[in-house]
Amino acid sequence: MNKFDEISALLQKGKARDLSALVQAELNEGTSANDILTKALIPGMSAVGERFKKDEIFVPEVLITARAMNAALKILRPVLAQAGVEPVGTAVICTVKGDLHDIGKNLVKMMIEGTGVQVVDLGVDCPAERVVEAVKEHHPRVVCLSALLTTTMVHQKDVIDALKEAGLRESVKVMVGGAPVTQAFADEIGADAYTPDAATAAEVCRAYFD
Amino acid sequence: MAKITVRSGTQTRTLQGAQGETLLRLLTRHGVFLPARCGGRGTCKKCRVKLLSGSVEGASPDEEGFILACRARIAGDCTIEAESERGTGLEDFCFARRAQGRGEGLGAALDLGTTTLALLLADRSSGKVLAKESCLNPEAAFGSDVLSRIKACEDKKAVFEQQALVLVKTRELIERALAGRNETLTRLVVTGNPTMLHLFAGVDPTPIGSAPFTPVFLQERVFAGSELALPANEVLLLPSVSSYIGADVTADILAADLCSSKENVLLADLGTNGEMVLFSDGNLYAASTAAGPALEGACIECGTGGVEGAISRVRQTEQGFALETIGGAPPKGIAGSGLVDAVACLLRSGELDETGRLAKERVFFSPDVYLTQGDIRAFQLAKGAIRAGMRALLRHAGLREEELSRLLIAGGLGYHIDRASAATTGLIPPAWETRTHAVGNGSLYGGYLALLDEGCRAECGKIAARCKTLDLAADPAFSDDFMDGMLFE
Repeated sequence: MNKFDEISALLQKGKARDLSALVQAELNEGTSANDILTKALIPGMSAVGERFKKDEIFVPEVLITARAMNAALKILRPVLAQAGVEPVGTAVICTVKGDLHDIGKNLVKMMIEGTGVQVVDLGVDCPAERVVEAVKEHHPRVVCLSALLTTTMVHQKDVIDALKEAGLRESVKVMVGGAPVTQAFADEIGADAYTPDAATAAEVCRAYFD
Repeated sequence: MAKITVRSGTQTRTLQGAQGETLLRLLTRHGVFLPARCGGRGTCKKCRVKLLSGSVEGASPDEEGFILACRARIAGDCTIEAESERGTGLEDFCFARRAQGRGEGLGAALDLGTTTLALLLADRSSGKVLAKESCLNPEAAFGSDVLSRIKACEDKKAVFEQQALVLVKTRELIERALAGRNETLTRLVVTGNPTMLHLFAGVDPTPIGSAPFTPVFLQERVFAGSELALPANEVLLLPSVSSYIGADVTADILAADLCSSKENVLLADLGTNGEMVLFSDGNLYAASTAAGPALEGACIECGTGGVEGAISRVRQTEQGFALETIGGAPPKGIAGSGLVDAVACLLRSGELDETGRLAKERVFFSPDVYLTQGDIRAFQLAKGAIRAGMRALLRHAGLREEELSRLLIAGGLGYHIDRASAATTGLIPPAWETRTHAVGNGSLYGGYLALLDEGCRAECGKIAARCKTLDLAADPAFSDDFMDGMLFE
């Protein structure tokens, strides 16, 4: 097994500590941080996403993997920055106003980070104005809106309306998701994409940066 | 107006429907109750009816001629076949608390379950139970869960439409229980979650639907029967604790007599919502999790509520699976207790691994009833939420798992659930198996106690004031506990 496959395998097993140790060791030996990211971690995360979509693995395992990914990224980020490697781009994510659910939102966030995109997390119960401010401040390519309640999904539309009003709607792609959300609802409120699960969300989000 | 001919079993009725109205609305208005768990969004596919002739708009028949009643809009005359869902299985009670009959005349307790309405008629002086009646909650036409029903109230008419549906059914239940006795109840005691109580009282529940989740009322409310067009002198809504901990839980606590316990006792009411209460060292803590839908048959492909033909028990034998169904009818779906058994069987046989991966695409329990990988995932979500809720309560009270003396399971699932299966699947901590007791419908029994005894009624107010609600969303450990709780270990 080559070293990149080995890193990818540890990631897919969710072994955060072993993964961190191996990533550090490879850096010490002079392996490029960008290679570790693009040849081992991102393909590993994408393989996990595929298995999740096929229902072979479930939320807890994806989360464990995502946490391992986070641990590895923590080590790589400063090295990448030093080497002048820019993140692919920025996305903003939040759970909309009136809704306190963060598990699904956090999972999507980690999966997106796993594709090399930087994510600004605005947390839960997030009013539309705060999203608008974040778009002005961080200039993201993508805005991701989560809603877990039938009663709060309507606030996804509020965010889209607020972006329009601020003249920012054309500058971003808006993605929506959450248990009660459907493609039909996404179309109705004028979102750019609806994704049914975290893995697809990360994939669709990443594609907006190509 | 179009003529809609509805065949149901051996009966045929003709209904007048307006162009553009959905079949689901039309049928519900005329007392044909189809499950509509997703609230008419066309996603749960439980409200299928067969289109025999004619045509509709908005839904096209599948190969077998089925259409979704929630999507199908009346376009002209047509004939359909629809089977109404019928609630059965009024559970018995297993509560220590007794009450002296101190009231007068006849009275009734009504448990407004999100899925099922249950009514108990009693002689208020002798305490004798004269009749028990139940039916499905007709508000189901607005969605199977409380949030869908709250969402429907964006259109304010829906508050009164839902109120009218539930009041008409309540009246029917009372009349059925009275069975021709020409009497007016001296009192009707009503329990249920806060949303159900708001709708019953005709109060808009919208503020309960999103953060900060503020109910319009929690305290006890008294109506004259005439205000609600019910045959009762007074209608008493018992007090609730908080937005998602309702009078049903207050009544549970009363029925189980939790506050006089010398031990650490946890009560879990596993209905459509999973409410849990822990009594420890003089403190009452409550939490609510959105756990129930899977355990009541929603989001399970062949899932069903506690209706005739629902598989309530599954055993692995050498000849394959041995099934028990409600009413002994041929299996037509799987109920919550059957689901717990089935998952336990699959874990024991190794067909299901500890991560929840099923070895085959589908496992059949009868020619028409099977479980899929997606069903297992839905079960895992429910179980994760319940276990995380239990852990949060214990943590808040500073208790370790082994320090719990008793777990009481109330609610519809509680009565049928097999505790060995519950332990095998990790729905409850395995160490608690022998400490677990099914107690039945505590909401109804608690209402019955308050019906008989003013002392019990007063106690409800004290319980509601004393009980503290934990905010699970604000608990940083909840997410980890939820993930842990999903695995089968």
